[in-house]
Amino acid sequence: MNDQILAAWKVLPLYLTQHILLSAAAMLLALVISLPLIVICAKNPRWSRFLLGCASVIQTIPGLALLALFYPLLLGLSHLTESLFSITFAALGFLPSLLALTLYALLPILRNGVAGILGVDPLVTEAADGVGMTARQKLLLIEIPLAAPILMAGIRTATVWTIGTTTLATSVGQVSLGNYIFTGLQTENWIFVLFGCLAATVLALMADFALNLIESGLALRQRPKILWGMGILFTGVLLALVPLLNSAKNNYVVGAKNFSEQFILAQTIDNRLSSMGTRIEQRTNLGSAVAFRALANNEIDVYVDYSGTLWSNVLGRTDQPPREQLLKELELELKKKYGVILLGGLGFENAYVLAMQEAQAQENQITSMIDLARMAPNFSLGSDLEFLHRPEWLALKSSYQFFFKSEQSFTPTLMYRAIKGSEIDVISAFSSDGRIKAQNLRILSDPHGAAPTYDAVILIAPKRAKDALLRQALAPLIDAIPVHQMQEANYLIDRDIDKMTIQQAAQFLENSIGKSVK
Amino acid sequence: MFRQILLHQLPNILLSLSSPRLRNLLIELEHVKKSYPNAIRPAIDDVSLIVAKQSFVALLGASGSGKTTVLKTINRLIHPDQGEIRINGISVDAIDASLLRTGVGYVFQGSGLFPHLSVAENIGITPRLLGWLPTKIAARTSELLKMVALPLDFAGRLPNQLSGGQQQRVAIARALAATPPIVLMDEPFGALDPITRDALSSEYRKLHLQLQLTTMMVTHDMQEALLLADRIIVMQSGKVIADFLPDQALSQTHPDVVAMMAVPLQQAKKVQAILTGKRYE
Repeated sequence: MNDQILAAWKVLPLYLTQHILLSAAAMLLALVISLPLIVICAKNPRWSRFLLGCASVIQTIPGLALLALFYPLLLGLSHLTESLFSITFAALGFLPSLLALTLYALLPILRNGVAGILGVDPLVTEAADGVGMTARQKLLLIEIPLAAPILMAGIRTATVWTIGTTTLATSVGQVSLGNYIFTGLQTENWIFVLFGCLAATVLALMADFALNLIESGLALRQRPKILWGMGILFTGVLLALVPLLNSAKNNYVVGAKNFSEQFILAQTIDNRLSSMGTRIEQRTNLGSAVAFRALANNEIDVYVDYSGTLWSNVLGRTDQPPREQLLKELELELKKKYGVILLGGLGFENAYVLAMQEAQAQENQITSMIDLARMAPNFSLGSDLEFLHRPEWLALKSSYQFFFKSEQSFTPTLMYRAIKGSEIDVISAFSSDGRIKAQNLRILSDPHGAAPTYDAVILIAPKRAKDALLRQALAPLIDAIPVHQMQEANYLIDRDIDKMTIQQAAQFLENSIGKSVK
Repeated sequence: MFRQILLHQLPNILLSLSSPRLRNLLIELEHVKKSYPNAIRPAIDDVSLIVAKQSFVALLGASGSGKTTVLKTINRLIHPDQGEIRINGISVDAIDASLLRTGVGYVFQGSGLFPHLSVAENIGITPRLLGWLPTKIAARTSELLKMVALPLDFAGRLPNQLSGGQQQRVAIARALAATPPIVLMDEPFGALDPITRDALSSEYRKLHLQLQLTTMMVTHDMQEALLLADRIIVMQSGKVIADFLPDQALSQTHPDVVAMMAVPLQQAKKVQAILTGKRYE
């Protein structure tokens, strides 16, 4: 328990500062955009309807989806500007998060600002005309100051929302307090989840307090209050900037998708590189599709992917050559098409397999998928959220003519619980998952060889192709991790009792590598 | 720079441009008509007026008679559909609206003070717009506070910290700040208690004379009009139905004007009777 809290504290400075910077930048940009729009809206009802409508529509897009949409959009834009002006920019991390959060913050600021200006007493605006103000003077001297308290309320709402939504930026590779939450949810580490939520809440409350000071300072015309509020905000942002200015640039960026094994392997790679005196930044919780594109685009330097995923999702292949041939061809194709280096396999496979409880399998005399197909109409299938839409499942289904009683999707943790409670009979499991062994599940063999192979392989970004240090650091990992060791390492995290930290699991894995080398 | 000179000189320009033939003429309205959207009849219908320099004119009428609309066409707060308004022979449409308004003081119904600005800032607003130096504005503000009989330490207060009468004094000071030759007032004393009202209105009358202003005041109170104005113009349903000097009030023949006069006279008699112990029904 204590280890988890310590592990959480250790990364807090990084997560918190990144979170503050992103939220602050998004709010600043949203203000810069919405202030002129408020003026346009207040003076022109037709524009007002249009702009507020747009902002409302944006608000209805789920945050994760908006963030996910910006990544390919920016990537395309980056390629375009590269071919036109040879300028590239990072499509991962800060920029897509900034844009999505800014769009989110627009509505409350815009709506309150417009309401504030339209709410100014008509007698007062007429008096402004009457004393000889021009439209501009009226706006600056009368309408904006009188709308300020309502506008400030909108800014407060937007700030609290933005700080909360910034946690989602983790999914596009931007470090934030969301890293606690995403990692915690994937590994069922509730301490991490709680830690992330608490940190974001405290931050939001502090920002709200500072803005409240400014708001009441404006309303009561008390300059000290305004200055205090401003002071708190500026200090917060400045403190968040300090580590950024102070620290040398990170040498390597290690990527990871969003499940325990990936976290452990990323940490293992991190440890190997750190031990050689380099500075590492981790970008974890990347979406499956995001990770490879980020690597090909040189936004991350190294991560672990799986041969079958690359074969079907990246190369778009549907044929299934034997394992050795697939690996060889994959290496050539990735190099040719993307300049990505396949350094080698880690020594284990993490394939999609079908598994069921040992007892039930024995009882029904099921050892292979052929046996399962016979009994399938009596069984219900549980899968993770992706499996039922993946080509692997379609291949298995058509090869064995599966027809289950029902098919349901779960998050992995819930899926394992469901099969434990016999709510479902068969699950789509990952072969390196520690829970297979721990829950005494039987992996069904695939006599047709219908499912593709999923060897874990280390991929290196094009710009690191000739990086000797990187290759040297990673060389000991090649073919060094047998599947049972990966299962054990995974199970250190994927359990409820005596849950270890990712660092501890990575340490375990490294120690076992040391042993097998000796 | 040129604009500032022009702004400073504007009131004088307005005063000096009158042709010798129309020496005493300041404000002219010629066949002015204004209809609001969705209204049954025009708010003002073919109104023509000539207001002499340094006169105090009361625009009298019931609610909806069009008196405020007439007032607002003069400083272009309302633009008429037809007709022309001239000041010293110059069409107001030929003058930039905000420039024109800096040269015409306006006292709004219900004060119209800016709630977020202090008393001093409210009073100094038009000089500030005209680009006066801060020291000059400060001096003028003190002068005006004295003129409307408010203590100097009121300068830093916000309008909501003042009583209704004090707010109205500030509103008058604000209208006079940039020494305009013309002051337009829309029921300036309407919301005040009788004592404050009497005091403030007679103080304003003194200022009117002292500063040689031309004042047009909208009111619905005949007694107030009689006590303050040099000339009374009565409006009804957007038209002028009577135009007379106060001492001619009793000889008016229009039945509505007669009715308007009857009320203060009867009230005065009743009060007299009550005070002398001869109550009669």
